[in-house]
Parts: sequence; C-alpha cells; structure tokens
Amino acid sequence: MSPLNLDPKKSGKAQWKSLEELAKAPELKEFVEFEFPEGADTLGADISRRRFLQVMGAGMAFAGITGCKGIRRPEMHILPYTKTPESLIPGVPQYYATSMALGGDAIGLVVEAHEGRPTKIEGNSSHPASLGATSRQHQASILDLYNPERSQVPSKSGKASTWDAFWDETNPVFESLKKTGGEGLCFLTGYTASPSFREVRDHAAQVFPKAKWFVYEPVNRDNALQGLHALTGQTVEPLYHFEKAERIVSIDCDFLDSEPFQVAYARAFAKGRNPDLGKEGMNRLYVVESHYSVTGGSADHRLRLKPSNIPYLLVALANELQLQGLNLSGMGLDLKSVNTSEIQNKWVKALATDLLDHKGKSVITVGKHQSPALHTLAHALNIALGNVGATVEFRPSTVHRLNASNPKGAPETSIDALRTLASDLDAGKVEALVVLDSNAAYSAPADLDLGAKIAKAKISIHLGLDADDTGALCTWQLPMSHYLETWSDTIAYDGTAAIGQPLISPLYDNTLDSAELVAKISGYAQEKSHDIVQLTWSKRRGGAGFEIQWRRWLHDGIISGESASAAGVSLNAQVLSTLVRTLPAQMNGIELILREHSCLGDGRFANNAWLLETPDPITRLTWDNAVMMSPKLAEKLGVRDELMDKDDGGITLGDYRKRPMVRVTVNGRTLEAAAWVMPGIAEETILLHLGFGRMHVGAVGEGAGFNAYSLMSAASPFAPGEAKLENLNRHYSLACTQDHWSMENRPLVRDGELEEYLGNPEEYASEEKWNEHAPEKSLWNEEVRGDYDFTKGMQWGMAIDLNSCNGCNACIVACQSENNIPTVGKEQVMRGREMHWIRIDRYFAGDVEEPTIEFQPVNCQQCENAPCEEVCPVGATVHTHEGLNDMVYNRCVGTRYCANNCPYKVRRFNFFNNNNDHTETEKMRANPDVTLRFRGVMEKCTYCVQRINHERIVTKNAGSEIIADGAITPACAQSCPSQAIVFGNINDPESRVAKLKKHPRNYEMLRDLNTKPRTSYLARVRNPNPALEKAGA
Amino acid sequence: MKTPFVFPKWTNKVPAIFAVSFTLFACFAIFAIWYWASPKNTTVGYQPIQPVAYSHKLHAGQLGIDCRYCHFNVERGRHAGVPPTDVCMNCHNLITRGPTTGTAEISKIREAHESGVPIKWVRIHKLAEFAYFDHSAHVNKGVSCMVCHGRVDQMDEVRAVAPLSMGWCLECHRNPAPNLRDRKLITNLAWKADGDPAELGKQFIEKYHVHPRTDCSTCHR
Repeated sequence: MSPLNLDPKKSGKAQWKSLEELAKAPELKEFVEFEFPEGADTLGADISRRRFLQVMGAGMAFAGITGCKGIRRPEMHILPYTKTPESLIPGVPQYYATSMALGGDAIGLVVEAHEGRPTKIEGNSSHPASLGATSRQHQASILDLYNPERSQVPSKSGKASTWDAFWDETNPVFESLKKTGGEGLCFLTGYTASPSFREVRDHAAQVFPKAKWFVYEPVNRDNALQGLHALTGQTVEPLYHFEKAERIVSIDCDFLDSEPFQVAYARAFAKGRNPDLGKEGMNRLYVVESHYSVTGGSADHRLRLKPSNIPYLLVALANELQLQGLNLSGMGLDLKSVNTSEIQNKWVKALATDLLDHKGKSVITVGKHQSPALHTLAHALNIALGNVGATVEFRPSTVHRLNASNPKGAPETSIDALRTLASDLDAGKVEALVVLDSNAAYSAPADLDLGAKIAKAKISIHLGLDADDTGALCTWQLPMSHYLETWSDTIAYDGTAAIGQPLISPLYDNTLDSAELVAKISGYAQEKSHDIVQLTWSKRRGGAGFEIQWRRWLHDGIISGESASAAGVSLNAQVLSTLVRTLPAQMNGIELILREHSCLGDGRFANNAWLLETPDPITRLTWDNAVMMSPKLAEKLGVRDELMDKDDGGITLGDYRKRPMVRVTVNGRTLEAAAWVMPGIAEETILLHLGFGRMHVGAVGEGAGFNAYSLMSAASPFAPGEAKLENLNRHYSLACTQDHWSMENRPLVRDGELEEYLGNPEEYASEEKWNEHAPEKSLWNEEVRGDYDFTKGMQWGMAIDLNSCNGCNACIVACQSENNIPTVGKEQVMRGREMHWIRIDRYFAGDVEEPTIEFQPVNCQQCENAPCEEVCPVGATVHTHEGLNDMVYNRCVGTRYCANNCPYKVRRFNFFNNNNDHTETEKMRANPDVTLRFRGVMEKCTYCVQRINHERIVTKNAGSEIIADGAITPACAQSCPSQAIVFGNINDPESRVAKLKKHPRNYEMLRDLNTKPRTSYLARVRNPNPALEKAGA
Repeated sequence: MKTPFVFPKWTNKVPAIFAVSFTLFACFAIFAIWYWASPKNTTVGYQPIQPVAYSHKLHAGQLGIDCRYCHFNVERGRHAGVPPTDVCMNCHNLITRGPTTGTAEISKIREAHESGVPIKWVRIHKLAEFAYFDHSAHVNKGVSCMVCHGRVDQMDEVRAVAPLSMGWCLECHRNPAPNLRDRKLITNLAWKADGDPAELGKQFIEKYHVHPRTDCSTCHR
C-alpha cells in the first residue's frame, strides 16, 4: 500500500539502499555482476567467498537495525500519500497510452502502472501499427528500464563524473563551435520517428550551419526507399494491405516478423487467411528465401534459393508474366532472359498464371535486405498487375522526412553516411562527435573500422541507455532517459502520429533524451522533453482549444487527423530499361547472409534477459547465435554427425555439449562461431544473426554469441559475399529448447489442404481420421464429481488457431512479463530448466532439406481430468469450480510427480530461488498481482487467473453476475499480433471461444489420453497451388 | 574384595519417569504451539503504538464520522486505504487543538502535510503476500467492517480482533449468512440484527448474489 516515492534519494529502505551504493562502487563491480541472477550461471563470475561475505555482511548489519522490534512479527509500516495523486486507487492499476519507436518504426502502446511504476506493456488497439498487439521486443523493452546496469551518471573515460563537470568541459567547446558555424561538429544517430527531434535537429542546423548530421541505422529501409525513388522519383515507401490480397509473393520479405509495421501486417495476413470463407477467402503465400524465416513458415509454397539467385527468380517471373500476356515493355521494362533451374521454371510458370488470375488482388513484396533494383522491379510488377491502389499503396516516407539531411531530396543511405563520417574522422576533421542513442562502433560494417576512428575526434560524447561499445570508446558517456521516462512523439510507418508520454519520472537524476541533449547544446527554445514536444505540436496544431486536443491525444494514444495519404506516382521508364544490369551478380560457392536476430534485433537488446532466453522461432536456440547451415553442407564440412542423430522416424539434434566450432572467412575477415543445422536453408548458404557478441554489454549478455558484424562489409552489408568454412575441431555448447523435430507420429499438429477442408470440413481435424487410438476409459465415474459441475457457471477455455499462429514468440515474452517468470540462464536452459509458461513447439515435416514448418503454442491445457492432480501427494494442484487447474505454491513440496505425469510437459520447476537476488530497481518491475515463486516449487500457466479474478470482482461490484465475453484477455492472447489465441467462457454458447470449440477444425491435443483439456487447437489449413504438385515445393 | 558396582534401586523407576515426563512434555509442546503460535494468539490483540495518538473512538465513535470518509477506496479497490494527509487536513486546517492531547498530536499531521514526508503508521492487519484480499469484493456484498476489524469505534488505539488466518476466512466463505447485512449498514459498527443473523443473512445472499468461492485461486495466484 505504501506509495512509491519517485525521488530516488528518498526511495528504498535505508539498509538496501546502502547495499546498492556499496555495489555501485567500482571495486565491487564483480559483485554487481554476481548479484544479477539471470546470467549468473553463465558468467563464471569470479568473486571470492570472502569478498562476498564481506558485502553481504554489510547489508545484513544494516538490515538488522530495523528488525526485532516486535516479538510477534516484524513491525511494518504503511506510508500514505500526503497529497492524493489524481485518480489513483492503491491496488488498482492505471493504464496510460504511450508510443515507442524501434529503429524508426513506431507503435502505439498502453502501459499498465501500479502505484506509479510501469509493469506491463500492451498494444494500443486504436493505433493502426499495433491494433492492440505488440511484438516480443516491445514487451521486453520494460526490462531495460529497470536494468540495474543502466548508465546512471555521466562518465568521462570510464570514470564516474557529474553533469556539472560535463557541461563545464563541453560548454566552451560548443560556444567556440557556434562561432565557427559548427565546423567539425558531427552528430551520429539512428533512425528517429520523432517530429520533435527533427525540429530540434533543424534548429541545431541553423545554430551550427556547418555541422554534419549522420544517420546510421544498421538494419535500415534504404533499399526499399532507393528502389522506389528510382521507379517513381518520389521518396515513398510501400504500405501493403495483406487483408485484401489473395496471392502474396514474398521475395525474402519477412513481413510477418521483421519488416516495419510487422505487427499490423501479421493481423492483416491472418485476416486474409480464413478458410471458412471458401476458396476466395483464403490467401496463398509464396515465399522465396535463402534461410527459414517466420514468414517462410506460413508459406503455402516456399522456394529456397541461394541468396545471389533470388533476384534472378524475380526477373524470371517478370519474363514469364510477359510471356503470359502482361504488358511490361510498355512500361519500358527490358528484361534479358535468365537461366533458372527446372524447378524454378515450373514454379515461376505456376506463379505467373496465379498472379495473372488475381490481378489487382495480389502483392509482390521484397525484403529490406534485397538490393534497390529488386524493389524497383517488384513494384513495377505490382503496378503492371494493378495492385497499386488496391493492395499496395505508396506512402510518403516518414523515415526519409524525419531523417534525411535534405528531406526534399533523394534518399540517403546509412552506409554512405557512415562512410563519410569514417573518412572525416580519418582526416582529423572532427572537432566534436555527438553520438545519440546509437551503437555504431559495434554495428558498423567491419571494413569501416569506425570503433578505432572515434578516438580521432577531439571530443566525443555518447548518449545512451547503457555504456555500450560506442560509449566505452567516447570521451564522455551520458545516461539517457528510457522511453518510459521521457516525453516524445512518433510517426508510425503508415503516418499515424502519437505522443509518447512517460510512465515514471527518470529513475536516475538528470538523464536526458536525444532531443533534450541537442536542445541544450544548440540552445533550443525549450529544454524539457515535455515542452519540446508540446512546442512542436502547438506549432502544427496550435490555436484555441490546443490544451483540450493535447489531452485527447494523450488519452487516445494517437494524434487524430495526422495520417498520411497515398502518394500518386509516375513511372520512370529510364530506370526500368537498364534495371537488370544493376542487379547483383550471381555467385558460386558458399554465400553468407546476415540478418537481424528475431529478439535482439541489431544488438540493442543484447543485455535483455527475457529476449536472450526467448527461443529463436525457427531454431529454438537461446542465449547464442550460430552459423546456420543445411544438413548437406554440414555433411560436406564433416560436422553433420555431431549435429544430428537420426533414429527411427524422429530427427534430433546431437549432444548439446558438442557443437562443432567453424571458422567463417569472408573477404579476408574471419569469425569463429558454433555451427548449427537449420533445415530449409539453401544448400550453399550460411546464415549468421546480428546482435550478439557485444564487447560492452553487461552481465546478462556478456559472452552470448558471436559478433556477426565483424563479417559485414560496407559494399554489401547483408550478403558480404562468398564464404569459406573450416571445421576447427573444437566444441561449444549451445542451449536449445527443442532439439526434437518430429511429432513421433502423434497427431499433435493437424493440417491439410484447403480443397480437402472445403470438401469435408467435419472430417478434416476429426479424431477418427487422425487418431488410431480410441480415447482411454476413465478410472472413475465422471458423472459424479462431488460439487464440481462443469456445466454450470463460468467455465474457462481457450482455443488456439494454428492457421493464424506464425510462431513470432510475442506470447512468450508477454506471459513472462505478466506472470513474473524468471529467466534461468544458458546453462539451466541446456538442462531443460527454462521457465516459460507458454512455449511454442516447432515441428519440421517432410524432407530434411526442404521441410515445411508447424508452430504450436503450448501452455497448461487445464485438463478436466488432470493427470497432475492425481499424483500430487500434498494436494498442491487442485481443480476449481470454473475448470482451472490451480497450482498452490505454498502446499508444493517439490516432488515433481506432477511434471512427470503431465503429458503436455507444461509444468515448470524452480530449481533455484530465481527471485532472490533482485535489486530494488528490478523489484519495481514485478507484477504485484502475481506471487513470486520460491525455490523448490512447481509452477505453470494459470490462464492469467489474476486477470480473471480482477474482472470477476469488477463485474460483481457493478452488480452483474455475468462477465462479458472478451472482458478477460490473458497476456498471451492480448499480445498476439494475429489474434490466434481466444479465451473465454465455454459455457456461454455465444462466446467466441465456445463457437470456436464447435468449429470443425477444432481438436484437442492427445485426446486419446482422456485428459479433456480446456485448451484446444484449430487445425491448420494450407492453400497450395494445384499446378505445383508437391506442397511446400 | 570389592563389591561390584550395583545400580541403586531407585534407578529402576527412571525409564518410567522418563517416559511419563517426555509424554507430558510432548503434549505440552504440541499444545503450546497449537495455542500460542496460532494466529488467534499471535495476531489477535496486536495493538502497536502508533506514531500519532489518533483515536478512532473519538473520530468514528463520538464524532460519528463514517469509516468511508477516510478509508474512501474501500468500495472501489483492493485496499481500503490509509487516508492521505490531505484528508486529515480537511478538518484539521481549522481544528488545531484536540480535547485530550492539545496541539501535540495534531501538529504532527500538519507537519507531515507541509513537509510532504508521510506519517509512518504501524501496520496492524497484514495478510501473507500470497493472499490477495480485496476490500471492495467484500463490502459491496454486505460484509461490515466490523466483521474483520471489530468495534473500531470503541478503540482509542486500534487492536487486531480477528486472527485473519485461512481457516478463519474459510469459515465465512463456507457460511457467509451470519456475517451479511444491508449494504447501507456496513459502516454502522453498532448495528445488531433483530433475531437470528443467519436467517437475515439468507435474504442478502439472494439479494447481493453472494456466492463466495473456496477454490485456491480465489485468494492465491
């Protein structure tokens, strides 16, 4: 009940504060690292027992002072507010709309706060980029706010200093720079999505007319922008309407998972994929890619190609379209024919026919890693097919408007910016370098060697959340405000504007955000983030009633009337006639591709324990990246036997302790990394994920993975070229959460084809068809259950649509955040002790080189005949009248019989006290509505029973007995971008979940065990092209 | 020749004495833990000295201020809430001198209000962290404050009157009728039912849809 005192000087009990302060002292750095629990097992933290006892002793001594007053129990205090905060009821969470930008891609969020501390991030349903959902990274961003290793005070050359010292030293520098017009002043940032930041930047450009501004975003949108600029002469970006598209062709475009606007795209794609609307209601997805992406997992037809062959497939498709009668030469498109293999020819023929049958109802998308010419070609085809204006729109690019040095000019690329900066640094032209929230020293292509050049600037200043690789190289490292601590504004990919309001005042004194620092340096009219943002919008939308409008925007989470409209385009025939010549050449040999990691992104989340422990969607690897290769390539390299075992029917990976290390050599640069077999990757291709192997990362991410940026080249960042592989005959341990690939002939995931489904929907997912075993008989009379009557009252159930689920992992992180689920570290994951309450099982089916993929989220199935309950010797897991399988932590003695008897393997055991060592800041993150579990206690999914109870009380207080359908949404369902998870009362025939349970595609997993699970699944439906005989070909 | 050592006769009784005293001691130990370590003993009667000598007897009893004037979140939230100093100041802006303590105690309130440093009230009613009790769910169903907190209007210094143990909670969850009354009367601590409270309670079970649950997850999550 005690209110949170936001003043850090006053917050926290004295004894623990002093321990924290002790821990902050530089000589105790090891202790801090040891104290952080998540990574502790992986660190090999080297701390002497003596030192540990000294520090612990200090803390205990302080703790002893306040205890021991009462004999009955320790005296506890209640500190009421002195002044009541507006509309705050202690114990009742508050929700505020805000907005977050991630690499220039903005989303609207609603954040839950308990007595002033944000605890959970949700999507804002009225924001078009979110529609109520989020990605795993948005969910996990709250962990960075409470990261105890955040940069907290300014530091000079690694030594803690003060803001006064910083300004004393740099003010004269900036004053003299003002006199010279900013000659030699350089700013380096990532993409911004903030118009206010742009305003401040424009002001700085007036104060320092000769200053240079470099924007480097490692994983950027340059190629699409350039490609469309060449085609249309305008700086536009494509906005797809996947819900209207009946045929979708993705050329290495992971639009469901890693392209901008992905959360909304996932919803639109799922919406356009409804097999119940008949043949025209379900889209068909063709994917051409080199590695296995999440989008590839949803494909009806997937073609794996070597990276350098991908562009030529699109050229072949264009040729074929022309052959089949699409008028392309009228557009000036001159394509020489290209040689493609037989399977590609067949593929292209069928695809071209299918596209021509769906003119104006198809989409061709190209991934951001592909060359600009390919984007040009794809959109020329989109125009020719009549898709533009129907399923594709060209919107004025916000990222260009907000980031280019000349917003009215041609697109500028990140790599060019970095090249110029590197040469300026080399030439000694840089007086002062200001790095704003960018870790370019880590994420720059290796051949630019930016890290070594930063020292050539006379003074360098880094503003960042933590002292990352770039911060460590700069003269000054300044602590930055987290986005939940500061005011901002964002423009989303589709042009929707939103205000980002803070949920908490900065945890550390005087932290600044990027706009505030530039405002201070340049002497902007306002210096506080709130005033900067308000000034921007009062300039745009000022006048009478601004205050009312402003409050409305804050409440709604979007700024009304700001969305961009489609740009009219005209074609540039010139570029099309010479297009093919500008495509990258085809290569022989093994090609390396680099991609951002699905969780760590470009490396900005490399110290985030939740994201490090979230398994990669395809490989289910945690805590590391690896050199991904096909089974065939592994065989060639002589490492296949170490990577894979083949027993009868099931394919499993080999002993996890023995992953072979390989040396990758590209353009003369080498990287030694562990190898991993990824079925479905093109044969002569290897993939490395970016984001790992940071030098200055913090205790959690320390030592995780291998730095793939060391192989990146400025000429071709994401496909650096031909790679040589060498088996090092050494080994490395990797932590994988699912090394088994097969369903062992059990019908866990049921799928089939659309024709089959439409032909006989009742049989499609039926037990008779799929399950050779008849359901087992009950040991007791199920009619008599004492006073448990599952036909009365609220009976909770869940339905998961496997046709919508794309395996993106958002639910895992959302559940972790809502239910205070600990992370356990790499070593414990290797022992199978990960704690996630919901996991996503990934199965490969078909050929090991070219498999199809199935995803299946599995949480506690809340069985009516729960096997776990039968074996618990202490009654720690019991049933409720509403059909939930309750876990009573206080009764649990840790026999783990229940986990052994659970056929779904959803129970998780606390082998360690995972919540013991949290610092005061970390404790603030926990959801107070969920108990923290102690060592030796079993835990599992509760269907978010805290949300059920909360809604029940709210409903009953309002005088009603019936909880409305949709009022309770578990965290997994809430975060799901494609709305695959539906929860509700199965006793109410009108509820969404009850209707889904009656759906012909509905089935229960392992039904034959007679467990009667409350979670059921809707079978997946594929929509293959009959002209391509083999599904997944 | 020395006679060999022989145990004296009385030692024959030692095993019997030992057995009897051990049994008695064991019985006593069981009784002691059962009686003194139970919340009925450890919790009931807990009456710490508060930093401000605030008297519920004066405010709620003699002056007749409704409980909800100060504990205004009781119908809306999980916590009834200790009143913010603001609320005290509504009256004590003008009333600076009390009948028994003069200005000594009231000035503490005024000081807290001016400095913004909250008063450290000593917590009396404390459930375990893993028990999630919600005040609003109870008072809106006609459970009076009195049921758990006793006649606070007669206490100068508040004292715990109920054990707040799980068994005690379940007694009422299994048979709520005797503890129910008209919602309008929940803060009338002196109210007594005419006749059998269990009979009267039955009508409120109907009226307020009182179906208390005894599933574990009702209170533990």
